[in-house]
Amino acid sequence: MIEPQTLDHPKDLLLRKERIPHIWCPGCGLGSVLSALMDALGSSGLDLKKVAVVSGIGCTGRAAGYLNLDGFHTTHGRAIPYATGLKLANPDLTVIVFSGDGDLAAIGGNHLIHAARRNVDIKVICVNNFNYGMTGGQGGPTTPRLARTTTTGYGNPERPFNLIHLIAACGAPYVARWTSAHPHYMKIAMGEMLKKDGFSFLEVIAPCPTNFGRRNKMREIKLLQRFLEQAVLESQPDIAKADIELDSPILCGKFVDLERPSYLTALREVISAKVKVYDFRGDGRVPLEEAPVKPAAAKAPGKPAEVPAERPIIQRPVQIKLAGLGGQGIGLCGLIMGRAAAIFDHNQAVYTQEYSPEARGGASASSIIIASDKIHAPYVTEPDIMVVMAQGAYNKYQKDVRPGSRLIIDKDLVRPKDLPDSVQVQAIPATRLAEEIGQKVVANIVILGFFTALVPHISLTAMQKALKGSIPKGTEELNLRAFETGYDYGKKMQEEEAV
Amino acid sequence: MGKDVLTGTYFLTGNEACAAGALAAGCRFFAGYPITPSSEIAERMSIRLPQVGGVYIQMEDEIASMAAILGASWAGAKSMTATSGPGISLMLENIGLGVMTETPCVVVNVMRGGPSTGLPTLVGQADVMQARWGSHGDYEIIALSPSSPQEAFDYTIRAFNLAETWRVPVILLMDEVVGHMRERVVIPEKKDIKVANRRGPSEPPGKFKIFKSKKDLIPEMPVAGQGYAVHVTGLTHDERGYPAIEWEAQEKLVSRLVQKIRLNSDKIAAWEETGVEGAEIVLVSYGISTRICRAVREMAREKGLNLGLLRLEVIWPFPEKRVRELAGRIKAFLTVEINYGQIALEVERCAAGKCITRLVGHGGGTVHDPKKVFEAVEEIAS
Repeated sequence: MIEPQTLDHPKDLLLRKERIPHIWCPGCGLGSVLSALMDALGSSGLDLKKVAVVSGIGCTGRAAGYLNLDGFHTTHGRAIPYATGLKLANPDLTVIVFSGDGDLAAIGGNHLIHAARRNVDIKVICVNNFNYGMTGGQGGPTTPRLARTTTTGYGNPERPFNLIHLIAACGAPYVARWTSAHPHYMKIAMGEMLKKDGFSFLEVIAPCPTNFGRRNKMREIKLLQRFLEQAVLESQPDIAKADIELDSPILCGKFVDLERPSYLTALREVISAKVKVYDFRGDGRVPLEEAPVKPAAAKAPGKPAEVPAERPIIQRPVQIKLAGLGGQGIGLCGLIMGRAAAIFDHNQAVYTQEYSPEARGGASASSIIIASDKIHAPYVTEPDIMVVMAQGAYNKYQKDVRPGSRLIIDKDLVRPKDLPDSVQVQAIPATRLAEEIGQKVVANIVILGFFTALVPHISLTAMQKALKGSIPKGTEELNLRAFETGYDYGKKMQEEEAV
Repeated sequence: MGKDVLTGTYFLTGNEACAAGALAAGCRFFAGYPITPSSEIAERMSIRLPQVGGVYIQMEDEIASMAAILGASWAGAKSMTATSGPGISLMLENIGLGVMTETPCVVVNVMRGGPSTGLPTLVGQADVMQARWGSHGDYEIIALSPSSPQEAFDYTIRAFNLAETWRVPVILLMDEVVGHMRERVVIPEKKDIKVANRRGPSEPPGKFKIFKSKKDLIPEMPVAGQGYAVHVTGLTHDERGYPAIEWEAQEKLVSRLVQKIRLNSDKIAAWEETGVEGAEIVLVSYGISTRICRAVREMAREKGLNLGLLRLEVIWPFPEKRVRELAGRIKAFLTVEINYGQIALEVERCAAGKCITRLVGHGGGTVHDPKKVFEAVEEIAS
């Protein structure tokens, strides 16, 4: 007697056999699509350990779980961004998105168009069965006009997406359509996609006899029959004619096949030369040249520079508020003060900016608190010193000028009014002096020098060091002159006052 | 390498420090979408990541950003996103996917005032419960809250280490003030930065089950491309990762997801106590409010009042045991937070009527006035 033999099917290698039987209905097109993908993968020559399949939710979403590959069954509509993360973190992977029309084109529609635009190198297989199969046959973004579904009981009034047109318009370098009745052509298209470097999109029209077919008088095999009969196969099909009506021909073929740099290629083209790094991947496995160790860093890494001899000791936190109009460099001025105090004077400094939408154009302010000990509350509530560079800013922040404080202003631009008791006003024609030096944009640095001469809370050395490190290259001379001008003006003023 | 840890002393915003911390922790993938007040993190990452061969990608929205960092994590990356306000609301569904699939990643939420668009440029601390329970379903999560730019650097590293160790998305709950204020930040040498990495599979593909946990309830994590044919699904799954739509599978999986954090909360929870021993009243706070509370403690000391401070470094898991202990010994807890009572409720729950519990809160837009907080302290003290 001959013993019956069981042979392994060649495709079993690619299936998680323990998960079969699948959950798909008799007559469903998904088996054919999955089978074509297995054929395409099998003859692709790819290392299948490096192939990952990502899907969203629904009947099609289950495919990722039947393939014996790295598979990711994600949230509804989010397969594409998930796949984007996988691909960009490990570009060695071939990443396939296998999902349904509702998942990719409705809830995930935004991701679909952006991934196509961005040209991330992922291969998207969109199985279009015109409805939400697993959820019970509701209408969706690809349901043909007048078709009946559980939510379009009177016939669908909406115009469906022409996905081919849409994705081509987004710039995808590969766009094709077949039906599940064309396994051979599907396989060819999938094989081409696997070789393509860039976003490639295959729409497969597939029957859902249980839901769509039943409600549209195309039960069981009839839907598939229609695909076979009505499919029009063209070598150069016209994208604009790819609309699908309930009874129209279904235009199939390869609509787009062109070369366009994929996201990572474009990234390398644009960025590599500028950063001198020639490969990018999110898992960090990029060989990089050892950065040369700077002598200064080698001497005392992680430790701040030496404490200046004239480091000011500040017992009670000093609150400083700087105000001006956008473009006057108030922010930079505060930043330099903060750096000087925190890094070079080894004091504590907190810097904040007044940050509201209108502050971008109009009056804006920045605040610094300096102390030798810890600073708790980071907000300036009662400024000890106010620096004001414009009348508009004075009008806005006048309420903050408190009795007994110090007010430093640009003499020509600010006319203080309604001053509280005993405010010490110290004025310098900063903008005019800056213009004399050559550029009025350095008026803020003139004021910074003036401030340094008059205010004892930040040392001159620290301020000079912070200034040098905070200004754009090529402007050092101008800025240093501006600083000195302000400083000398302040010192001279002090001497005169002393006399 | 060499460019990932820029050792030195800087004057940075919390957001800049957070980006520096991420790079130091080994983050090489950032996906995000701009939103105030978190955008500077993305801006900084877009400049810094290419310098170390990493990838920055600006996605089409926050949903995509969160999905992308999960995908990247399963490709072996340490990944991060950062957002604020409405952005974090959009990320929640995929944060749930991250919890269910035990995907290490870091989500920074620079909190602003809400609900809805609320106060884009001003501070809030009202996403605390959302960090805990925002996604649907039952789970435990880890959230940390820095109170200065230096801590923004340190805690970002800590967040990555916790994410990698416990295989859970970790939320860094900053707030607008910490995100935007500048202070001295010391970035140590690379060798002095402790970095934790996920535990890879100890067995070859074949028998290895990708969601089978060890005694510590943490499964080993193979990633895509290693030949393990991982199956990762947000559906309830068995140890192989296969969908298992039955209550027994739910019980086994979800209880482990919860217990891996709960049973280890002693190792994860972290708080700082100042003057708590012998204090009658203890302030509870986190993030920027911590600094206000420190100012209040000094005001109290000047008036001869011994005021304790319990500051949450890690908000979730909450230091339940410690709060219970203290509740039996002190007169009152005063929770200072920029919301109408989120941690205050947690304190009240743990105090269980054993001491007075009060909230000092407001809806956002500004930090607390230390004087107002001190008035509340005096009221209870008298």
